[in-house]
Amino acid sequence: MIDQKTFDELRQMVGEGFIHELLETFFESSPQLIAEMQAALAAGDAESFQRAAHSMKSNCASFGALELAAQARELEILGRDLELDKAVQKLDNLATIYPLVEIELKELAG
Amino acid sequence: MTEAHCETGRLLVVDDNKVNRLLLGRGLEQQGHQVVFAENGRQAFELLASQRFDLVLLDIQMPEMDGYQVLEQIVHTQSCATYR
Repeated sequence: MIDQKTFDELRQMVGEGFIHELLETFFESSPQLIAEMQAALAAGDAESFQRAAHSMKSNCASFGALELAAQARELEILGRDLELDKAVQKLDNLATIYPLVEIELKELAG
Repeated sequence: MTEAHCETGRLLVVDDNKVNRLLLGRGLEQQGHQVVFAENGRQAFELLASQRFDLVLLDIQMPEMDGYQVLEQIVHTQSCATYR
């Protein structure tokens, strides 16, 4: 689920020690962003939904979680287009897949 | 990252996303810049009022005030104030 090349390039750029700090931050913020999207969805708050999806997309892309980034991008667009009704299933999907991405990133980081 | 042979400076990075702040800060520090962070417009204004920066890097999508609103207020404040 992780694009190895993107992850390796990131690790090389920031350094071995820093990649762990960066990952910790990602593991901390991703569940928060998912919870924000869920809350925004429940409240019908398209703007907050879009913003959280946008951050999720950008974070996933940085670590090479490209499939998850693509899903977050779809959610961001639904938020922008005020089509939150179409986002329910997609958000469930993303929330289900995220833990697998976290496991894989932990394995990659070693 | 390309080789840095430019001048270095004091930079303010304004972004609500911590992953972005860390990533951007790391890259800029590796190029020799001194980086200070703000999570939102309010923090940015406080820092700008008390410290001098050569450059502000401003995220657009932020809660409460977006990057455009922050920029507008910075420009307004600067044009009303005397430069140090």
